[in-house]
Amino acid sequence: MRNPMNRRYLRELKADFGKYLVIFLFIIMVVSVVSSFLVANAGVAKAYYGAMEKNHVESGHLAFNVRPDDELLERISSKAKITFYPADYFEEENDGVTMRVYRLGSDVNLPELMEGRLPEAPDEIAIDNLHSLNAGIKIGDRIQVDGHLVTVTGFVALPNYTALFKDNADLMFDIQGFGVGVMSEEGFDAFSSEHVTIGYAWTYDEKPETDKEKNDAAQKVLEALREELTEVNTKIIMRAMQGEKDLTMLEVTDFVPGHENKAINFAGEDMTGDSASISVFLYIVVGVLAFIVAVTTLNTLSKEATVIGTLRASGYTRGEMIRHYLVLPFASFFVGMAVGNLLGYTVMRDFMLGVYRSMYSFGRAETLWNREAFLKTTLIPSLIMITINYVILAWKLRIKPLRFLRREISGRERKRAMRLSRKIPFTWRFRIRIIIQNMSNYVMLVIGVILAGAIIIFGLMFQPLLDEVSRRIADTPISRYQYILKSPEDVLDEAAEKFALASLETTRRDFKTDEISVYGVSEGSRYVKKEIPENQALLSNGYMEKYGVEEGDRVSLYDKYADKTYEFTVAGEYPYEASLAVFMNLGEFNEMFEKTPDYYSGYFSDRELEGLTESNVYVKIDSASLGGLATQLWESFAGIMGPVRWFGVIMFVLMVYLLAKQIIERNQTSISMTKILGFSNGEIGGLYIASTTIVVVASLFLAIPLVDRLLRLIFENYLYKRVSGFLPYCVSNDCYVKMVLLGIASYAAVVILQLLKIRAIKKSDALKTLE
Amino acid sequence: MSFVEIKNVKKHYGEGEARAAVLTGVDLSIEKGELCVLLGPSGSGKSTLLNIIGGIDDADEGYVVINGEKTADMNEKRLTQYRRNHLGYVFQMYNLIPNLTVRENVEVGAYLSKKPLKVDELLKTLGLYEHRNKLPNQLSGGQQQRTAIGRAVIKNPDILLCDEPTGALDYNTSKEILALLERINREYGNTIIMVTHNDALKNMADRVVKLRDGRISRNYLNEKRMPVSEIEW
Repeated sequence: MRNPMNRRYLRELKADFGKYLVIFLFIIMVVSVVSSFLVANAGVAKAYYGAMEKNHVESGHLAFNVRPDDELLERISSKAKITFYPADYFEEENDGVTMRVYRLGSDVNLPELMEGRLPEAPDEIAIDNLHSLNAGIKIGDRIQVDGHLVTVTGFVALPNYTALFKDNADLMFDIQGFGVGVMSEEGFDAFSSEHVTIGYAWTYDEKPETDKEKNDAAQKVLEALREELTEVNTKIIMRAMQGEKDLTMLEVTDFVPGHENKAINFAGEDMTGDSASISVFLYIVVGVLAFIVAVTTLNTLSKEATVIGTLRASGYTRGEMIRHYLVLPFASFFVGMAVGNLLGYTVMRDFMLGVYRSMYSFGRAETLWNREAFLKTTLIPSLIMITINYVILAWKLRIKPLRFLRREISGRERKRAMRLSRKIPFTWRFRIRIIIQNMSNYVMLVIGVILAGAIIIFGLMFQPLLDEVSRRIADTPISRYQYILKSPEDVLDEAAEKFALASLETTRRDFKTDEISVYGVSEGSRYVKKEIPENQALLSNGYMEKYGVEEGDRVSLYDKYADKTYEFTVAGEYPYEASLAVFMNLGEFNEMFEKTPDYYSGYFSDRELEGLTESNVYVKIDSASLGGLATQLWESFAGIMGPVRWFGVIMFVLMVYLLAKQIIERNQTSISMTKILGFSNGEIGGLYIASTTIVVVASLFLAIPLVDRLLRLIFENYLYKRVSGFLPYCVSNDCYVKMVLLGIASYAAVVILQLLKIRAIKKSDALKTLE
Repeated sequence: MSFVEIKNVKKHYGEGEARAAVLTGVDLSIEKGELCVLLGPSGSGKSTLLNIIGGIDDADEGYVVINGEKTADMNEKRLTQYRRNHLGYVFQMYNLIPNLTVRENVEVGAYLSKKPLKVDELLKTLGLYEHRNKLPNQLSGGQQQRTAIGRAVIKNPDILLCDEPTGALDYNTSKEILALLERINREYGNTIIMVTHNDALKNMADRVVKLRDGRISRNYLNEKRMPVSEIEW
């Protein structure tokens, strides 16, 4: 015989549809977001790495001022064990947008066609899909290239431009002002003018694996290049000495090994970043939801205590009762999870892909069955849900049937009622009693409000935070300009002050590796305005704060290319927000890094330096380039932070609705009785809804310090350790004001629903025998 | 050995100064098929004794043996199985499942039994057949109590434990319910132990046990049971 209790499920579902709908929607919302993120992330990562392989991404590229002989390239190839491929390009600037155009036909950096077709005719071009998206270019549009109009035939993704870095020295990619395209060989040759850059890409014959191997391999190419260039140029000088005219020395104008190429690596490092944070977020939300479900189930037990007592006395087992009361919440949870996953694999995935596509250019990403995503979004949350609810329900149902029959299930019944002073007005005493009676609901409400508040703040905090970062960066420059040179070069300008720079890595295993700029500062520096004690170093404030370093501590930094570790004694903090940096005396720097005593690698200057060889300037840092970093970071974040904020608001509404509903339902008889006594719906709302309102509003204000503490903990113990670079923790007060206002506004909607619920309670409910 | 053997059962509630003895040493034997009425004023310990017999409350001292099995030796799981297989419960409040129909509420009991009675037959016996598709809130108090009895009896339990089954009912409905219990006892042969404070009901019993201050003050067998229809109070 089938258990007749099963027939309750459908009726129960109809009767308490709101509750199960909330659980259902809640879990759909969380799971769809997380699964879509994980699925999109995995799909994009696979597309990214797949494209590297499939489309033969280069191992590096270089450019010359004039076309070298084939023999020279062959000699370099044989010395460095590489293969060269032609990679000429020309650039066209229109309305502040630079378009870099390559010739089709190379065996490396093959374009992946995303839409349309590849160009065939001379007046056709295919452009990068991300740039087309941002610039609003459609297939068939005619765009200006080198003074001529060409037709866009398709959109492509180039594996060597997954992130649109115009120059490897740029701090951030530039999706607005830079794009790449490809033309047919015929078209390229017909259009390209004398400002074509003579470029070559290379691949290693034997693929290096580790960073050190990659660096060694690149060094080998550089050394071979230097040797051959010296030889070729010596010959040119000789020929010139013999009277030959119009000879040009061969120079390398660009040299970027693949492992250092941000246009290739940046996206990969970003998208394969730890997905643990979003999973932890899911688990916290499911944990809170599980407790809310448990509280609602306990309310049902309380409502049905005598029935449970009778059934248990009649021989229904504890297991049967647990299963019975968990079926509906679990069903709504699991169905929600299935729908959430379905949305995550379809609609939401497209949204998440859109977020990636708005930042990076990559080929087609497939929806992959992702075991990791399944585990993270289905199995683990299910275990959390089942465990929490099973344990709480099993614990509650351990109570003997007799206590259920006597409705003694909360353990508080035998205690005396809390004494409340008569000086407290009656209505307030009534509200306090309601709060005490529904304490478990209200505790969950407070936790839920704090969690939702934290999500809302998280969605709100980044714009002002990045503004603050931009301001701080602007306020703490070392100098207006920093010139980093490829090799020392003297300049006659009073404003210029020499410094040396090395890039090392942090060694703390509990943190994700950070790049640290180590500056060797000239003695008596005009720009680094703090004395650096002998044999000690100053650390930038971000470095000190992120790693919790204090004066007198020793920090170790690692040079991955030389495989060497250096130690620094911390003399104190130096205010510099643009990067994580160490400042030491130039003499000590040169000694430590085994440089000649007069070595330097750049200049600080408060004005632009004239007279430096342009090709020798590795990077010029000014306020615009530093400010651009924060702007670009915000643009990358903005797409995702808006939905995060509204996610928090929806979560807030659903949770408050569910718990507030429980309180009204639990007190249905009392409310009915107060109606009989003559209380109006408004007065009853003033008692029952006001109690919830007090808790909600108090929770919102309580949430301010708690969310602040919680987010600080997340920053210090999680983000700082898992994300490279430093974003100081600061939340603008405006964010908290907005959080409270959003909370109150969304609660107003819940109040209306509660009022309707109170109105729906009949006077006869109190008079009926509920059984 | 009798079907139900109760030996020196003691029970108290509360601790320290608030400690109150409810049962101070009860010895009782009930034979199979007997209709036993436990009589006594409020606080005499009759419901506590019934709950200890039913295994939903524990004795501090002493024990209960039913059909040769000592309930005190059973763990929770075994005790649940025991209740499932051998006992039926009827309370003063009917404790019906509000969103199940009359028939379904009765089936809740049938589900527990390996040898349940036929539901429709029992519903006819209970006079509930025409109400079988109604929900509890569509029934009168007497109909609800009849449904509760049906839920207990459908299992065809060895013992039917009834705690003030007519406590919430008017005179006529009470008589109707008591007549039903009498009929069930006669037709199905279940042992019925019924708690009541209504002294007049002693006449419908085979065995009358009077409790006062936690002790049995009288325990006797009626020579002849009086039909409920003839009992007045």
